[in-house]
Amino acid sequence: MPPLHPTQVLPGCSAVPALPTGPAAQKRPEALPPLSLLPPDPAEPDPRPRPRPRRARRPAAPTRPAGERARPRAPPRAPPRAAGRRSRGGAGPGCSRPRGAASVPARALRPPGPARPPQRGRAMSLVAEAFMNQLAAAEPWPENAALYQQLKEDQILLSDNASSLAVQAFLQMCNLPVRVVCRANAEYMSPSGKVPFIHVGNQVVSELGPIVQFVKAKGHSLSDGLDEVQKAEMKAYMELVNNMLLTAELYLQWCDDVTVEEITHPRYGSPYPWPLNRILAYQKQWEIRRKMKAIGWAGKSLEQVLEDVDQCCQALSQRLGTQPYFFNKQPTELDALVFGHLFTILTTQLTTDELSEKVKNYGNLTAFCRRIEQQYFEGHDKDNSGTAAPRSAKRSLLR
Amino acid sequence: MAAPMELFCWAGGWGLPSVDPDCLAVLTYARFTGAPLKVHRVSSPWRSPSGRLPALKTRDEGTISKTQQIITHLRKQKYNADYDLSATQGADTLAFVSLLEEKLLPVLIHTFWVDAKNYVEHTRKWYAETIPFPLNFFLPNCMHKQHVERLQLMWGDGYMEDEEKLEKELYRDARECLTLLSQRLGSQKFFFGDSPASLDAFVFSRLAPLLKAKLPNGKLQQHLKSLQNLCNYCTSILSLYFPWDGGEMHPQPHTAPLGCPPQKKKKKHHETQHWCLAALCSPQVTSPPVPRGLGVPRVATQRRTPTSGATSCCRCWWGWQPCWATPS
Repeated sequence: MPPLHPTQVLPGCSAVPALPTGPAAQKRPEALPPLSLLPPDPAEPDPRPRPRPRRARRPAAPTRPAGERARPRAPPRAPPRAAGRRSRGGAGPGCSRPRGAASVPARALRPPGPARPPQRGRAMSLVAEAFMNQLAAAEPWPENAALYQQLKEDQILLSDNASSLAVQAFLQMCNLPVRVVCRANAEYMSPSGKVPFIHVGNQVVSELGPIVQFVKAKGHSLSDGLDEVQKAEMKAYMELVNNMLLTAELYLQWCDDVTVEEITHPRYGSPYPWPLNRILAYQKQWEIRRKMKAIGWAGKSLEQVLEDVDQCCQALSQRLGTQPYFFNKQPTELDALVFGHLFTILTTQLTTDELSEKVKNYGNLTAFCRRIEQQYFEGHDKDNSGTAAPRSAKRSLLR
Repeated sequence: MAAPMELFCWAGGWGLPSVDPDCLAVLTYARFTGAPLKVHRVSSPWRSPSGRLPALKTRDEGTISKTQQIITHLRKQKYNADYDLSATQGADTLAFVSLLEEKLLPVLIHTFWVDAKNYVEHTRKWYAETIPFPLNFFLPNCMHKQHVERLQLMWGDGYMEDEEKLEKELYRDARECLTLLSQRLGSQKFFFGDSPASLDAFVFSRLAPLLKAKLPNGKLQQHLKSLQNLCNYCTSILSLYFPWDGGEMHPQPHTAPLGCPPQKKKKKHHETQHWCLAALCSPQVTSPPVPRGLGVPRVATQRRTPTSGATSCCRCWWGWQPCWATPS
């Protein structure tokens, strides 16, 4: 890697002053940067009834704002129409959780009224799905597209925030407006059980890979300009990020005992009342640990995991070199994915700084994060003074 | 080094030096670098000092069983296939290995171990014929269960039952991965020019079994065969680096029916004479009664598997399996 000292690269970066841990940062164990975050607008109530957490006996704590949203760059034009359509559509994508299918028509997400005949329904639904997909592909990107994720302040975890940020960055790069909606039960709303997912027209798509394909079907693609070898390399590096950074984040938040106790369990269970918060958190922890065992990470120590992260960052740093983006001048989905993960790692306060220190060793990567943030996320921060406070809060977190 | 390191890996078959992708990766890497290894091709993981395969027995660091760690160890011993690569190429290696592990390997495991037709008619057949007597009744099933469980954890529950989704998403990803590899390779001899690197060992070890196995249900295989440069790549590595393995162990790898044990075993003996004594002492040779017809392929009582000699094989590789079947 080019031996750039962080302070050399970062002076222009207002977000990364070498501050000591601020009191605010110490107080909150895992505070996440309110990226492109507008305060909830009381004049425009959320048209949807807020879905309850499916397994909770009572709804989440009432102190939380009903819906935080990020305004897209393009001015949202037609909320009334959106509201009307959604209210006709019924409960929205929130309530049932068929696992699996990455892209399902939103209609399928509603609790089915009369039971569908399974056998006939399958062939029918295949045809219908293909038809709907075609229809959806033909439709332009709607103004009321929404991205769902967990509550930003109290609930979302490192890995989910990284994935969500990657999708937001990708859609921003495609210049597609999307509204960020925070829901305590986002995980249970998602068709694949993974966060984030987007609700576009009558389709619900989760995770970056399927979203990229979905957006491509609508005629927006970031990687069309690449030749075949570059495309292969791009896919390979995306897998590298998923394989190493994402797994390391999961390891840290579910297998490192200190982090689990101090951050993961309180945050993960925050929307639920007492016995449930522990039960759900332990259930999830058990699931992730089994997964780690299956991929051979269970026996690793924290040092080894950090070593892997370092190796991954080194590879990314090498690949990036001095270019503005991974493949020359144009951003691709790889840039979005890398940005999502690195930015989240850099700006999240964990029990120790070891993880973010690993990334900060690579000057070109931090500069890369800074650049993408400025270009794609700061534009609409300026037009609203309400974000001043969250942004300064973030500054204290970025050290 | 006075005493060479010893490598334990699965026996060869299907025209390959070893049937297991991980073992094949280590073997190929060792061949690329010319590391002096004493290779034990064993027919049961219980014969490995660590209870797993592959395993590298070193003098100073004990036994290493993870593919990546073995390669790292070899690299530390100055057997480095990536010595000439630039830093960017090193980064590419890491990225493509991740691509293989994430997209191709799980589907490969599914093809060989979970797909019912392939598993029953091909994989289990080979393992049941190769593994020595009492173990052959349950080891293949245990391995099957282990692989199924692993995939279930990796993919989530929904995928294993839903054939259509499996085909639509995961197999499509795997085919895409093969296509990407083919595009990346282009017309080069190896991935980074004219000399092989560790990435080549990984790619070869994942592709070669798929190419060489005669799978009854060869969806993925067909796609690989349509990518001519990857096929040529595999066959050229086989002929360049494993000429005698293919030749000696499997006189007619292409024409012989799958696993014709007596022939194979005799050939293997020549290669591994130094284990004969140990093998003779091992109860596997002397004891097994003829299994009653349980639908399990024939067990060759005269089959002597090369063993590791003094290091006994009483290890429970499968956590819950009793030790009753092994000598102490």
